[in-house]
Amino acid sequence: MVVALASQKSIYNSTNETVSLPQLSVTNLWWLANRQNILENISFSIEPGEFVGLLGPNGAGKSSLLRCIYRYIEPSKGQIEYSGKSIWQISQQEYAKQLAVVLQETPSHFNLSVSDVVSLGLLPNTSIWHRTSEKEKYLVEQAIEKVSMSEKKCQAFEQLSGGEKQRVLIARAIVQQPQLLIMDEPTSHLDIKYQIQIIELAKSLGITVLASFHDLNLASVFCDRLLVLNQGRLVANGTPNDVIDCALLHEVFGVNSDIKPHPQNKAPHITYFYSEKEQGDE
Amino acid sequence: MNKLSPVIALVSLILLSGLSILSALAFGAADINLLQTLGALRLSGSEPFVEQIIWQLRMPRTLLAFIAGGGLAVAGLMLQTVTRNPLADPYLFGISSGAAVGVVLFVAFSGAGIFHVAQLSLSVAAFIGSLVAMALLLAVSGTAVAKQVESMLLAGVALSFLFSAITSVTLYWSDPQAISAVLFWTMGSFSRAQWPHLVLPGILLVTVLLSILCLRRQFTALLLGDESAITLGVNVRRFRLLMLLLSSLLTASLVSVCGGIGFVGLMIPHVVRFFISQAQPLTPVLVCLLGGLFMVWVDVLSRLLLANQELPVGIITGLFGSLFFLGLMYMRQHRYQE
Amino acid sequence: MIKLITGLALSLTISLSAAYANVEENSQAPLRIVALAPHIVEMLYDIGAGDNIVATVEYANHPEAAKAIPRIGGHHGISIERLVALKPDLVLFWQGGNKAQDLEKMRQLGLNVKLSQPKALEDVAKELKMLGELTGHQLQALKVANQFTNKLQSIRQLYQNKQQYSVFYQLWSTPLMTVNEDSWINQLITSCNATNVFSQSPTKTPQVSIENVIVANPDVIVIPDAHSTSPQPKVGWEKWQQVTAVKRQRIIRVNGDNMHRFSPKMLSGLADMCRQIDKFR
Repeated sequence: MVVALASQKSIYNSTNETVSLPQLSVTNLWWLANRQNILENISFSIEPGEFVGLLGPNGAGKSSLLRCIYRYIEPSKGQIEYSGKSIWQISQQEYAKQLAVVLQETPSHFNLSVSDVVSLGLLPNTSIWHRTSEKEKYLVEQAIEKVSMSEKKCQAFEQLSGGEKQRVLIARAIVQQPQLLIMDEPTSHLDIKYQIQIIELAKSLGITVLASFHDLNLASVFCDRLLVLNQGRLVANGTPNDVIDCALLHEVFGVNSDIKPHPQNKAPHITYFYSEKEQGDE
Repeated sequence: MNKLSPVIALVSLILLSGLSILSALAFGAADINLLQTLGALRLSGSEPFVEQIIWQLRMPRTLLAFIAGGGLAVAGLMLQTVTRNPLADPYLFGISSGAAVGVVLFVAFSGAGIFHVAQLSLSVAAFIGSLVAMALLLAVSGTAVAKQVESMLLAGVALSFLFSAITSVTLYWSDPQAISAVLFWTMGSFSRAQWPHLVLPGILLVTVLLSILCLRRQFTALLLGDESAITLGVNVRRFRLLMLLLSSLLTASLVSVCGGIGFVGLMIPHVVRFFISQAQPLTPVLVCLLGGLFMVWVDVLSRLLLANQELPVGIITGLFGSLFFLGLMYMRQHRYQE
Repeated sequence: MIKLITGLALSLTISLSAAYANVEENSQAPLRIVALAPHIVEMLYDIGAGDNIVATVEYANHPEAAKAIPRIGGHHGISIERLVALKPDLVLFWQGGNKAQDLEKMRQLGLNVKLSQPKALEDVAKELKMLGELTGHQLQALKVANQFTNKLQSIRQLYQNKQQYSVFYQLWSTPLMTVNEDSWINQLITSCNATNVFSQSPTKTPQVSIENVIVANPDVIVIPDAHSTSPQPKVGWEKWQQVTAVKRQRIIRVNGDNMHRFSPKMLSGLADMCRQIDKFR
């Protein structure tokens, strides 16, 4: 298992280099549900500006880990700190100012329009008496434009395609003006064009991103660092080059594969082998 | 989606409500025309008889109808939003049936001569009944966010059945006269409205409206699911309990003075949503106004449909409300198909 | 399976025929009556057949002896099984008070059912005579029936030529309810030579508003007590001085328990109401 200091490799480095604390650190995290360990003793940290991918087969605990981080579930044991402070000691609203989340599935009820959904990003930054200002309306317009949804801003969110919904939710995250963006499988069920579009959009924000992925090649190309979960344990943490190797893929995902550098940016690119065929072990 | 402008809707609803209340004052058993009504309102130059009828009977009655319609509609909107269930209304959660149990038990026991029945005591009994229902619902629905909505709905339905059963059992042993009185009461009526009846529901309605106006973003955030709302910094569990508490208090205060009036809480929010996005800050106000407007005319019908007698309000809301609603849904379906 | 059913059917036939045989054998034994309404029980006692009642329904509280009779139901329905188990020779069914389904069931079971269906006040006498025929107490029944008819006649005659008052009969106050001309109570009101202001209402027990009453402007308001002693919730009539009954303080309380039943006892309630109304003349 290779543990790399990813902060040194970070391309989109934070402007705030003097801060020695990691932006997010998870220490000895356990989560039990129905007396079963879903997450076992997980520790890692994320530095400002990193784009971190979370990998693992179905049921490995990716969503549970993310849910612990955005406070939807409370871990059974262990610490999660944001800028050195336990996240459960930060007020919920304060935390929402720092952290935006794009969920895998976001149901919408009673016909909310695209701009209604994006405007919700204003919520953490407004007090209860606050009336939406012109500046905030502009912020919403800008965010919708950034994800190229201006033409559909009056449409019902529910009637959008999967990729459009993800874009709208990213626009909501933009309005939220967070320091950290968490995305749970933002690319699943999307056409490949939109998968790339969504990741590039997230990357263009210039903030720290922690996202779980199904598609290993996509993660390899775009992430500065990869975390790999298997059966609730963190089994790898490092740059794509360090993490992705045939042995790990075989062990964690149960596939045989060949790995070559991607022609464009030399990130490892995986070719899978199918059953009953000759195996390309190197 | 060709939605209406909320401001235009607001202005027209305010105007319509004002006009409706004014003209509703001119309808009733006693022959009083609009001119006399206006005379009585200016407090000058009208017969004392007309004045008394307008000020002591029709005015409190019409205003109670307006507050009740608005309050039930707003309570429905709140419950539909926090549970994200389009069928939610005060009935679904056992709040109304709790009130009915209060009344029925009270009538049954006072009939046995245990209490001296005073005018206001029925209302107090109904209020206590709904508070008990609400306390049970909160106790049962638990604290875990993930299952809260589900257990609330299930517990609410179970409580409704429990309360209806208690009502039926009590009625089973009551004499026929008490049964018909209670049945009439459960169908709702504004005919006994008095000024003091308006105070509590009025205060609660204003409080509830103000609070959901302040919390409108949290309110909307819930429509994208609990998980999403939590990531936006909403304390979902606490917020939902607060909303449930407020809507229950509002419903209890109304049911206790005008009986159980169904369907308004369910229908009005949907009608408003046909035309205005729920996320609009003005939506709760529009829901309130439309509910009030609807109920004022329902009450006029209840006075006029049968000569020399009243038709229970619940029958009219059920009948006309559901027909109107079905028509609206039918038209909407057709528009989509074209 | 088939065996079982045939067996069951056979044993049922046997027990049924045995039951019928019993009835015939015991024809000399006292008549077993089930009276399914309070007024029927009262009338049976009035004609001297009260001791033959083996079962009745809730609220059959008059006379005192009736309280000891076993109950097999109420207005919500009757336990047919218990009824059959009592092997009654005569079942007296209240058409309009008891459930129609129960009647059908009883007839299917071959029970001897007779109907009580009083409509007009005079029918009480007819019913008494019918009960007399059925129970063999014809003489006593005739006597009571004649007494009833005479007393009713005398009450009517007493007020016949007096001033006719209009009456609002406040059946219940929350909500305000009254009766129309189809109601038994309407006949009681007219017997006092008064008119019911809501006699023309389209429903039997209409719900009305205070305003309806103000417009109707009754000369007298009659408020029956909810249960023999406890008063109804108050309406606050004193505010409405333009109503003649209020202005002249003509609001009276009557005993609802007596008024609302179809037996000779009703006449004491009627006499009381008429007397109270007459005081205002």
